[in-house]
Amino acid sequence: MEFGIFNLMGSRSPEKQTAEVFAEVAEQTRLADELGYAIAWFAEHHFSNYCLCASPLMIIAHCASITKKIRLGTAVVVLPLYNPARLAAEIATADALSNGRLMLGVGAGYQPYEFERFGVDIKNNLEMTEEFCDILDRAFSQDFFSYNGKHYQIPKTHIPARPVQKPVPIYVAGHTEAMFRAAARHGYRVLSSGRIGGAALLAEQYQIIRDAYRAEGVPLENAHITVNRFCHITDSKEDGLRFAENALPIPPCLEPAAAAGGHAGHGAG
Amino acid sequence: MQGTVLVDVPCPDEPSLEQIHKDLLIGDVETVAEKLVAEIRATHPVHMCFSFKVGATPHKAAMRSMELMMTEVRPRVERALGPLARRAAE
Repeated sequence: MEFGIFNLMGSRSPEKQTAEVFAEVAEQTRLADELGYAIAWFAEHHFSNYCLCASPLMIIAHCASITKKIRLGTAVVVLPLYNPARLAAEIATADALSNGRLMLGVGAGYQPYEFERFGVDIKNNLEMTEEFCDILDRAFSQDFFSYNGKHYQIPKTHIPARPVQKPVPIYVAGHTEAMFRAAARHGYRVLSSGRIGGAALLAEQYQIIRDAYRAEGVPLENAHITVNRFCHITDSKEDGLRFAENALPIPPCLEPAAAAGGHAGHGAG
Repeated sequence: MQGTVLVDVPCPDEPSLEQIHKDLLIGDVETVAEKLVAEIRATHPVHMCFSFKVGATPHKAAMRSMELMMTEVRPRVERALGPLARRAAE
C-alpha cells in the first residue's frame, strides 16, 4: 500500500495571488517526491476559490519537469466538459512529458454551476462519460478509430501523440454503484472519498465498490481502491478545528442563483 | 465579495466542526495513526492519498503534516498492521 497527496489548489486568502497558490502546489509536490509519496493527485474545479485549477493536466505537465519518481494523477478530468479528440492528445502529451508517470482519474461531473457555464446539459453527464470512455479506449488502442455515439461522432481519426504507458492507468471517481460498475466494465480503477465522514462512511463505500465489481463479474483487486482523505497533523486543538472548517464541503448549497453571494466549491475532488 | 474571495455562508445541516474534527484524520501523530489504521481496515485500499492543504490551511502547516505522515504516522501504522508495502500485494 502506498501513500499519496491530493492537491485541491484552493485559496481563501484575498491577498494571495494565483501564482503563489500554484508555486506552493509545486513545492508540496516536489517535497512529496522527496519524502517517498507514490502519487500526487491534482483536482479540477471551475469558477470558485475552492480550487483554482481548471486543468490538472497543465499542472501535471509542469510538475513532471520538477520531480523524478512521483506519479502524477488527475483527480479528476471532468469528461463532459472536454472535447474527446483534444483530450486524448493532451493525455498522451502529459504521459510523454512525465515519461510514463501519468495516472488518469476521470469523472462525470456533478456541479450544475460548472455545466451551465460550459454549455453542457448536466442531465446527459453519465451517458456522455460512458461514450467518452469508449472513445479514449479506442483512441489509445487503435491506430485509427472512429466513433458514432448519441453525444459524440468522430470520423476516422488518428491521434499522433501516444502515451508512454500502454495503457495509461485510468481511475473513475464517484460514490455510486453505477459509476463503480462502469469502472469495472472498462477495466478502470476506483477513486473513492469518504468526504468529511469517518471510517463508517468509508466502510459503506467499500461495500458499494465490492458489490459493483461482483455484479460485473470482475475481481475486486482490479479496482485497485484509492481513498482520498483530509489530513492535518497537529498537537493543537484550535489548529485542528480550523482545518476542519476549511474541509467543509459546499456543493449542496451551491445554487446558480445564490452562487454569486454564497460560497462556491465542494469537498474532496 | 471580499477582494477576489466569495464570502462564506453556512449551509443548512452542516455537521459541527467538533464532529468533522473527530471523523477526519486530524490530531497529533498518535491520534492520526489510530484513525488511519481504522480507515485502512474499513476500506482495504491499495493507495491512500491525503489532502493536507485545503482552503486557508497555511502552506508551511501542510508541508509539516506531509513530513509527519511519513516520518511519524506511517511507522506507527505499520506497527499495527504490518509492512504497508506487503498489503499492496494482497
